[in-house]
Amino acid sequence: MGLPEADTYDLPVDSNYVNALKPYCDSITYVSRWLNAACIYFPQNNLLAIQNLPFVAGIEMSRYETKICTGTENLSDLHHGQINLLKGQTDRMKASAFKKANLTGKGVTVAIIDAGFTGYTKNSLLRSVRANNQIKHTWDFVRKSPNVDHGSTHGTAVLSCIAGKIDSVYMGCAYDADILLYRTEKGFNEKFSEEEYWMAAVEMADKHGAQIINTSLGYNERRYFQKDMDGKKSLLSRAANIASRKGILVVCSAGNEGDIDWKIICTPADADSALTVGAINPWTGIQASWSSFGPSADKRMKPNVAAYGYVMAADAGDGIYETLGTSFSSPLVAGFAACVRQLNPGITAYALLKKIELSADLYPYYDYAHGYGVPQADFILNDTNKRVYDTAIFTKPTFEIVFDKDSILQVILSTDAYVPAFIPVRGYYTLPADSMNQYTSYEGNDYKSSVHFYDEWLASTEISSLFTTEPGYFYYNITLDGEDYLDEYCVINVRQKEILRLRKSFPQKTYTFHYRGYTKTIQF
Amino acid sequence: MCVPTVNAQDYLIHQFPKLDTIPKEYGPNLKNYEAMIYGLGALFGNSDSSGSNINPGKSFYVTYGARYKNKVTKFLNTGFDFMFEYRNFNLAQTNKKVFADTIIHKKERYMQLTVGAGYFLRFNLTKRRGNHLGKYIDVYCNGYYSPINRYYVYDKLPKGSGARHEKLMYRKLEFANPFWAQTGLRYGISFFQFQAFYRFTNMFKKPDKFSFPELPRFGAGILIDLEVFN
Repeated sequence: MGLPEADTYDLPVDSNYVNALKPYCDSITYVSRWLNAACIYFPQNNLLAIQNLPFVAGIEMSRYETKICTGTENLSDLHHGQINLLKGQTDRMKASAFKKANLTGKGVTVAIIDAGFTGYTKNSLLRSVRANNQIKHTWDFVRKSPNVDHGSTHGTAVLSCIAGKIDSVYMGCAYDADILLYRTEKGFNEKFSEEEYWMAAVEMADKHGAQIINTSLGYNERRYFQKDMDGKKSLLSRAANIASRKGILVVCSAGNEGDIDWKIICTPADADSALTVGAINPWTGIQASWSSFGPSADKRMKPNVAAYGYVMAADAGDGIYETLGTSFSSPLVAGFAACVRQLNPGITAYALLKKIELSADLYPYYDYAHGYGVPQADFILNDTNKRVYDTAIFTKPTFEIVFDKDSILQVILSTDAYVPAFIPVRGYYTLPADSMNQYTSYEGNDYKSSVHFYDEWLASTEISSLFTTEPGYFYYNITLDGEDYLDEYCVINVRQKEILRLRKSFPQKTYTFHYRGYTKTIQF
Repeated sequence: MCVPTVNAQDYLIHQFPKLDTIPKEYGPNLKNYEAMIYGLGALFGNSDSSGSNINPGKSFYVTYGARYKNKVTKFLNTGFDFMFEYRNFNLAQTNKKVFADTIIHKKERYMQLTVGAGYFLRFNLTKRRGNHLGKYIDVYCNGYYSPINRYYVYDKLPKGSGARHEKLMYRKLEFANPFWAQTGLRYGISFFQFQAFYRFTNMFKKPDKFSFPELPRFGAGILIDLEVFN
């Protein structure tokens, strides 16, 4: 990768400094090489004395809170909708192309930092991971022990979305990757020490050769304000950026705050060099309503990409269950990244991030709900560098832009590309009479009504049909003149060829339209 | 202005990111905070003399109101409470009782319905935190107006008197002082607070013909404030 064997970040903190701190501290719980910092507990009356030490550049006193985005045994035990979801979670990324190219994450080390991995030693979905001795290192930073088989099932589910397998179906892309498991969360007993554990875990992952770190954890209003989500404020974001400089791609879940007051991404998903993953609803094809929105507080594009936010994942016992959250979108993309890394062993973390963005199905279109869309394995294998702006993935444009005399712009979908959408207003899915036979019913399913409502906070595997390709919606975004972030963006359900009509604006705005793989940008 | 003018479209997502980046002014740890408050607690203590002692387990208050809090610094907040409060003093039936009479009744209670307003100073103990309340101590002073005061007496009647029970309610009590005030402390963890207070003004007027001893002045209980979303 052209990275040096070692750099200044690898140098330990001067032991004289650490020793000089000791008289003022009750305890020193962690010394960070990367941040050239120490996490200490000390009496309040020592604050001034510590501040006055000549080598102390600053003190950050902290507390914090996390937001953890939070069965059935064999494939034959799953119903049709569940099997579809299980296959769809990797099919949506065209992961079969990786499989054909023998890209399985082999030789790539993926670290998972999570709240606990209860059941990972016995769940049969992870049998091959254990049998192939893929788990190279584990450490519980909370209990200071190598046993991570406790605390929470969350990490087990995340692990299964990278390397799980049920019968012949792989639940993630990187089923041959080497795995590091680190527990840094205390669950409901939130302490500042968890942030310190997270930093320690990242450094330990570096020490054990991790090339990709998945962290399905997000920290929000318990410790931060929305304005703090700028990639600079939190220690985690800073550590994630340093990790990137050291060749480690940090893949983060965007957060599950999209439908609550917080709404935007959490940290460390705000880090500039982190690959932030939002959630797609498999049954509507668009962003799940609870998936956190971008941009970051300093208006950088986030999330970067998206993946299924509803998955089938390993549970604490020996089973599999439906669950949801950007926590599970993130490991799906982390597994994807491991395969890309296997294909490009010399790639830097930032180049890897850009390559994954470039492979996403909406690229070069983006918005703050989907990022560049869902990464596609076949684009990675077909040299994504050929995808340039205003170039169609399909051979010809899928829409045309017509200007009329009254300064009106019309977007008209081309006859070849136009496919009337039959699906859904958000929260609903519709089954038109002429498409009823597309659906495979299973016992007990009632498709008599053509319009169904569902709660996006519940998995909806009773719907047997889901999107495994880019949905045929019309996307557009608007940027104001002189600004480099979006002012507005939309996703429109396609029901007519004349999809959009806009009046000319003053000053000019930049419009980017996207429909079925073709993107066009104009100023108007 | 750009206006999409094609009708009958399903906008599956339509976002205006600038709206999400407008700094918010209302929130638990922002410039302004508004909440509804719900409180419940016990009244206790000894009366000024033993002539109006109460049964502490049966004497209580219930509060319902609204709160506004203003952030001055990370450490100091100030605010106002506006509330309705119901107070029930269950009077102990002892030989020394002189309020409201010296007769031993089966049950006897004094009830107030009040409206109140208060000012508080909040000292935050969790200095560095996000948009949440953390841990804090409030020092407060509340003033009350009691437009409705009732005195109830409940007795069993002897057999042959034509009824089994007698329940009397006295209204427009001449001895009741409608205005009174109290001060107190609250310790809060997030939206949950423990509070204790002391009433420092008299609840009863002191004309010569009454001169009732004051009811107990202490109370303690819990208070919950639930944010009003703006």
